[in-house]
Amino acid sequence: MKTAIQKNFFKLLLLHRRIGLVVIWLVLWLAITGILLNHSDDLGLDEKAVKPSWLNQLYGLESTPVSSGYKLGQGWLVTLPGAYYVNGRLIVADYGPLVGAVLLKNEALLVTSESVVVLDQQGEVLEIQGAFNGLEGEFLQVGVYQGQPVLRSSVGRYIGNADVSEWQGFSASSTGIEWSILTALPSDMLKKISALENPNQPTVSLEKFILDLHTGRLLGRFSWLFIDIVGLLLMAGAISGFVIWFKLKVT
Amino acid sequence: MLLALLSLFIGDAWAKEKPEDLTVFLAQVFGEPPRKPKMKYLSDIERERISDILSHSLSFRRVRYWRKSASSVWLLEEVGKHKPITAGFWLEKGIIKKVKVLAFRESRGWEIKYPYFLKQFNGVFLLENTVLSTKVDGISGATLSVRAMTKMARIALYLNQQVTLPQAPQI
Repeated sequence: MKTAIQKNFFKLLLLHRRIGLVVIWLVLWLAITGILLNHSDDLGLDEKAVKPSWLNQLYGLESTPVSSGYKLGQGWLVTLPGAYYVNGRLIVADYGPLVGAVLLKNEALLVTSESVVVLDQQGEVLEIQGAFNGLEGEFLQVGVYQGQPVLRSSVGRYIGNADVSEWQGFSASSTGIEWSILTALPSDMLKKISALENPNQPTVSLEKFILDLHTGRLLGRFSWLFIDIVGLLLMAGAISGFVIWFKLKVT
Repeated sequence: MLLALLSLFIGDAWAKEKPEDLTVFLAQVFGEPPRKPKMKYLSDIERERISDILSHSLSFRRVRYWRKSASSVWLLEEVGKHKPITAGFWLEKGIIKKVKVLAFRESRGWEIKYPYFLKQFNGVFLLENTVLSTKVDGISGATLSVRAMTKMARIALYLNQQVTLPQAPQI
């Protein structure tokens, strides 16, 4: 017949075993990710990107698909993360939120809320214009008036000369100005854009992913609770193991 | 109170474009209301040379400058770390007379705006291989901004040589 001490000892053994069964996986998880992080540079983990879209969604990096753009001559100008593209060709890096684009006789203008990017016929940047070119305020709209570029900003309207080297105030009526308007992309262009491999698309490095696995941050806002529980289980396992060893040694 | 004090110190450093700064700078150089800028369209050779100075590909094909007899002012932009720094370079006979930072958009490295740094450029001219005649001392914590300013100084002197070759100093 088992005594109460023996029963308690048996319960402690059971508890220790169960804690062990749970903790063993967590220890393996922490050990493997820890070893990988320790050799991150050698393994080049910071240079490898993790690409699954569910993971990018988890990190909030999943971009919404492009569905609209600005008509630019025969082409379409769209913004993808980090750059502007015309008919799928990268034109220039990101200069802020796009507000419109117009095609002139020899140049094209790509206007963001802060800058006017002047492009030549080959799509190369001639100049980036802004406040030092007499253009003040936040840019809201761009259009063409009798072959000349017209810009509407938060402080007024400007009209540029033929080669877009100078701007001056423009107070005439809006009649006759063809404003650049955000328009839904045609289906063939949508296909072309969606097939683009955007080099500027933000990604998560493998190192960051493993680090977040190691610290539990990947589990979201309650990760601290999870890691706390893991810590408590490890402590409970260590203490119960010590008590078992001590009792066996004493008896 | 603390915020107000902080804004006094960093408010100017983080200031963005102020077109009137350029107007004042031009008036200081030419002593009259600013004239219309000239436009320098870069040739392929010039683009290549400037790309070498910048150590990256060039993001513009034309540059604005103002010129009257031997004096010229070049308006240039180069990225410090993330955002472009706009600076005006006053050149006289191929030698830098004065440099002014017109817009600094970064949150760090704003020390380059101060005269103790900018004075280093005064009297500097271009040696062979588009190297500055004097070494520009860096500022700890503003390495990239200092580097951008040095590159712009080299570009301003180089472009000035291209438009006023006979006036370049003889070394």
